[in-house]
Amino acid sequence: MLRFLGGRLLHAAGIVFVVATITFVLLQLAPGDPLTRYSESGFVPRSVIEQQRRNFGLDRPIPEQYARYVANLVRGDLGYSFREHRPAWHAIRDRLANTLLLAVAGLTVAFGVGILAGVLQGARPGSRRDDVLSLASLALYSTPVFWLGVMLLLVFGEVLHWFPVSGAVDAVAHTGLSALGRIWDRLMHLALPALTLGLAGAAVIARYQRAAMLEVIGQDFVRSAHAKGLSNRDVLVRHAVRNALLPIVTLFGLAFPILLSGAVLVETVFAWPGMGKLMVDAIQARDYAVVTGATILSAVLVVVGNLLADVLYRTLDPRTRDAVT
Amino acid sequence: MTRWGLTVGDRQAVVGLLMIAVLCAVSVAAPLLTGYDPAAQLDLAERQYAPPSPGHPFGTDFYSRDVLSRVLHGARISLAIAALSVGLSITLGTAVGLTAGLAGGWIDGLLMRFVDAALAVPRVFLVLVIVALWPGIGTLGLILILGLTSWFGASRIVRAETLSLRARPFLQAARALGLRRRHVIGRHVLPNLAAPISVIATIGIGQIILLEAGLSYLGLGVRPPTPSWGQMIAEGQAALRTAPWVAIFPGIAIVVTVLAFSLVGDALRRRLDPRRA
Repeated sequence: MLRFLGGRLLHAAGIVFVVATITFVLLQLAPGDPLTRYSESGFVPRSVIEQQRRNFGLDRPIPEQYARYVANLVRGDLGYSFREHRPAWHAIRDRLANTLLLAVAGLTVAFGVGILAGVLQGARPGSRRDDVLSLASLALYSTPVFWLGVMLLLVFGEVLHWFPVSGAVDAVAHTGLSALGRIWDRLMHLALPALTLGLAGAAVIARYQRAAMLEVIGQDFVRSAHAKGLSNRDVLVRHAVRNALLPIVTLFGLAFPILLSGAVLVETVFAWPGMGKLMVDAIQARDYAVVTGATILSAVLVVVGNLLADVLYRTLDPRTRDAVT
Repeated sequence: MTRWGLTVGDRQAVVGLLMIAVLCAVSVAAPLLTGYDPAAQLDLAERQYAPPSPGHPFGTDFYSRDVLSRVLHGARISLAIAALSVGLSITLGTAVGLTAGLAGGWIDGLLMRFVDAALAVPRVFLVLVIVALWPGIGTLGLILILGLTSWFGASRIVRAETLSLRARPFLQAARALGLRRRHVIGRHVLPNLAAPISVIATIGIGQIILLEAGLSYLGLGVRPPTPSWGQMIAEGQAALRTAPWVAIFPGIAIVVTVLAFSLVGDALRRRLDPRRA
């Protein structure tokens, strides 16, 4: 297990390194540099800009800049946010918890709804129920996540007034609430964004879960379970579903990037103060360090998600443990 | 099998293809189908946020523009951008996948490590970072960006298919016969890749439409006054309570369009990979 973990970690670090390098190349290829917006504004004297360029090492040869860039990244320095006048990492860090909260809540909804739908379909393939759910998941898969958010906002926020329409907490009342009230306030604000993100993910997971069920149901041990006289329900719950859940674990790695992409849009729909919203705002202000920092961090999150999925899969399926990976 | 000897998948494909045909016809004929210019501000005083009516079946927006004609013209933009970027990404993906699969060795290793890394960045983040660094790009730039960031998955699949083809006897025979490399690739490898590539392309068009709509929603894709569905939804969200139709109809247009391509792509995939049907 240790050797497996070591190898995987090395592979993960390699991927992040390549992502960082691609980002650096993109930065070099792009017109202008982080100080362009000051020189373009015309308000900042040329000498000050030259001074700043030297301070940030932007006048150095490119290989040296690259070496510094990598060295800084290793130390966790993502650059300087010119918009917020503080390290980009600090700006991102303050929003990271909100994005992770949204992603985990979305993931829970996605797996819950997706697995349930997939099991219902896979248990009776070709039935009317299967057809209806198949079409529903295909339609959901074809729905832009931000529009789904806007529609949920319209129905549950604007018309029914069940949930608040924006933000992570009530901007006015939150600080005055009791501890329990604050948790409730957060949950109410989380509900619609998490539902939006979760439903979009569920469409993907349901399709895989259905396929996994079909695979398992055709196997000998399921036939044996039927043969020894177990009820349909018992065969399904105790034998088929348990085995069909296994491949779904690998989806954890696949679903995570999709979820993070969706989070950028969902955060914008609901004005959710997360990393994605921060990134979109930073683009408008041409605050490069925050944009590239958030991108590299998103890759780190994906790689960590994949790593977790791998470890989980190995723990759950003893057959893979002895295999050489 | 159902009526006329069609499988469920075939029926699905027929419905999807019909939908695509209608969408293409609509986008070509958009100016003929509606009496309004999508950019024309009709009457700000009288017709701002006019609800759906016989004159304006989808209502009007903040600038008193006819939403139906904007949705129809939006189809043109969306389909054109998607078709061109998918063409680009499929070409790149096939070229890289073929090269990696046929060359093997360090070339394969290098290309695939790059693809691994590119796939580790969530798609929206990847596109956003490029949009951020090249601000003010036009529609052509958008097509390039979308195409250049969408070939990674395709190259992986093409590589895997190429590797499995290489091991097949007919290819070994072609080589043993001393056929030239170009001939083998052009006549024996590529035709056998056509099927998986057509699946990737069909599903890819739907994905690009979603991605472009998302970018335009964020205000970073198609620029006004060119009508685009994503941007219309963003405008509609600003007046969700008073004029929900401005956000509702372009969204339905996206779902219908992407669903059409998903249906065909799904049916193709089932046909080609019957085990997963």
